[in-house]
Amino acid sequence: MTFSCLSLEQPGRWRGGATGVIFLIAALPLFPLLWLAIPSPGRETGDFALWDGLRNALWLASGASAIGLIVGLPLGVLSALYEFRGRTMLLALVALPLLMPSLLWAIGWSSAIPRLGGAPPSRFAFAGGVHVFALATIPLVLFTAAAATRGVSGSQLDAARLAGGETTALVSACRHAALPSILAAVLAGILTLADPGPGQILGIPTAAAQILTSFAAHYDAARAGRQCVLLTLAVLSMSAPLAWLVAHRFAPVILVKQPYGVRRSGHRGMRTIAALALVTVLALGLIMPLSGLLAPLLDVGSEAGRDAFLGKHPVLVLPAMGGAAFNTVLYALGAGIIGTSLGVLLAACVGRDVRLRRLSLGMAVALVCWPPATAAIGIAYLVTQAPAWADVLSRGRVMVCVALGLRLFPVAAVIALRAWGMGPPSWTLVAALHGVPFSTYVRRVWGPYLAPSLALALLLIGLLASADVSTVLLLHPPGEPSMTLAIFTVMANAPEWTVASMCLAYLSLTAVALSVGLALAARLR
Amino acid sequence: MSGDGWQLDHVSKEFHGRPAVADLCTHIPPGDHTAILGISGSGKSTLLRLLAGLEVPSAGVIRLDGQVLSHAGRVIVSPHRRGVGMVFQDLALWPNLSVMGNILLGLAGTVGSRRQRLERAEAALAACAISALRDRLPASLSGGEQQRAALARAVAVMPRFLFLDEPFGGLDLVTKSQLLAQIGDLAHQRFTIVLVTHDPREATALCRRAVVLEEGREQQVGEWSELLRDPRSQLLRTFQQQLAATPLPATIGQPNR
Repeated sequence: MTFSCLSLEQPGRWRGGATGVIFLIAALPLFPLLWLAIPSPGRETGDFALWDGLRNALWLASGASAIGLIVGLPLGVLSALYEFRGRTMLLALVALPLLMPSLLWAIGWSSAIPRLGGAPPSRFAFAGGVHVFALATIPLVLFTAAAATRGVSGSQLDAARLAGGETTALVSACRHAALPSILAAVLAGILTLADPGPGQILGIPTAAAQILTSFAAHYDAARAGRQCVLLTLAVLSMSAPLAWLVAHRFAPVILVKQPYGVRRSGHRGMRTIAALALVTVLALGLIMPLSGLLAPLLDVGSEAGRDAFLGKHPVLVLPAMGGAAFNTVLYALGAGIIGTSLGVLLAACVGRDVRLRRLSLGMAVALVCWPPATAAIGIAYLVTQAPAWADVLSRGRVMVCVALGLRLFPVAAVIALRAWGMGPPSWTLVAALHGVPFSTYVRRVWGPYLAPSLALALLLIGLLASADVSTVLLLHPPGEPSMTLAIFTVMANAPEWTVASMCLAYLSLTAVALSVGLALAARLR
Repeated sequence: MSGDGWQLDHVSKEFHGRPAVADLCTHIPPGDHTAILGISGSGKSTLLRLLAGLEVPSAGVIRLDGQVLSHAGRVIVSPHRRGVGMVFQDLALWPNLSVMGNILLGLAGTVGSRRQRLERAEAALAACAISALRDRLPASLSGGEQQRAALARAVAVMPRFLFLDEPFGGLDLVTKSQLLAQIGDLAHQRFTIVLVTHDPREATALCRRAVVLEEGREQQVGEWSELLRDPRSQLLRTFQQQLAATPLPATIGQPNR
């Protein structure tokens, strides 16, 4: 039996089954943890420290979400509606904090706080926590608002312009993008709950930071597991309604392209406002953490300055990070390939089935919210149960790639579902009618069509995997950390300038990777 | 042309419980260009896809020259073995391939050497008067040129039947007239046209027979001129008035020459 091109478009019961299997694979690391927690489900409910941590995390998340919404919504609409010089570069810069470990910015803040003086450090720490999380929330809301605005039909906006000029068009677009942006802000807030970095560094005891302490400092995997289950349940109670809402209200907006979309206007006043707004947000957002990172290096009177002057400065510690950099690339690439492959496989299985597309979108939102530590501890538990001969795989770098790939697969899933849905079915029907062999069709038409989207998914997963701390910390083989983990490990003991140099080196490498990746995706497109 | 043509016996097609084609029994003879007419949502395109084997019927049997091609819940003869070429409503040109690339890939399922395929592709380009456009990408072509490229890809496989699924939408009257004339010339003694349209002028320009559908059911079938002479439904009366009011320019070739 040969596989026909028509199979790509035809409905079938197998689609539901295959979609279920893919999500089951993605959720597989979560099951051992449930197994681990079931024998004593009530033991940790009295863990008041964890509940306190969750309360702290919720305060931080609420602040970050509010800032993200207030700043991200108008910026997203402006950047979708108006064309201005340097737009792509500015947007890439705004996206950078989302793709970088939050701990880097937190390190910048913690370095800046002692230099500020005045207010008590605890107040600065909380403000720093909100600020660091807001740096990641703003781009998520911004890009959601921009995508929602691109979903408005061009003629709708022209009608608004005719009715009341540019301001009316802007307000109308903001109104259209408001609800998706609110949901994105909430999603971003939920995502921060599972991020241990800023809490750990700025001295705010958040729930995620406590889980990391239980596992890495107290070596109590069972306790960490139970705490993870509690945090996961808390996250799930917030993310499930969000996932349902996204799947039911926004699946058509997210997964289908508006055929008569918005064309960016060159309105002189508005484009200036848009560019200025982006520059201002970038400056205000990055000035504090960046100055905190640069201060130790610029302080000529300090030990760092003397070392640099005497040539002892190890060229921004790059040689020391060489091995970690190699691991980072390996983990990023491995996670990217696994996540993207699963994402495109999901899109192929779901096809154009409306119900499955909605379900998949909802599942993707729900899965991406799960705390990274939950899956990592689940895998760590599986690894301890695996036979000795499987150690090469289960305790090697491959397992880190698998864990990261499975955790970040929802990112690729959404991108692949959108790309798949936007490809006209008639391309495949023509191929079927002409008897074009399946492999030839995929190689010559469908593959090249999907390539830019898959390259983008690979890039995003790679960068997000590089920024991960929890998964790599819990699963990496001895002596094989990633750059982020290397920074996380040395930040408490190493000299300030060493940590700052490592952070800046990471920042530069990520910026380069993002630029190259975007240029490549643009070229493929 | 030999054979009995297409025979549909009680064919139905449902989407999510809603009938697109309902208990349709009709015959499309070979050699007689046939128009399938109806308003939007009447099941015209679904019928064409059922004939092409791109949709599976929910009930009934579809035969070609007496051979069963599809029956309830199953496609027995796959689309590329039905001798059908098709021009889709959105033309479905593969955007990353040149015009020549589109035609050659369309021939990938046919037997024959690469050289034979090249010769057929060249012939199709020449027949559709687009040899000069062979290396151009679809996005760089005008609407009319894109229509010709899609037509060239469809006729290159030398089909017995050419299915046209409302391919003239969005074209100006002059280009449409030229294209209709060109298709009429191409079809001469080579293939039978089955045209899906809601424009009676296109049907008049190309077809002698017509099947009129309403809500997935056959309203009337027969010679197009006869149907217009004796319209038994409001739809046909509307078509009649439309033809009287705005006939196509006289550049159109005679149907079924």
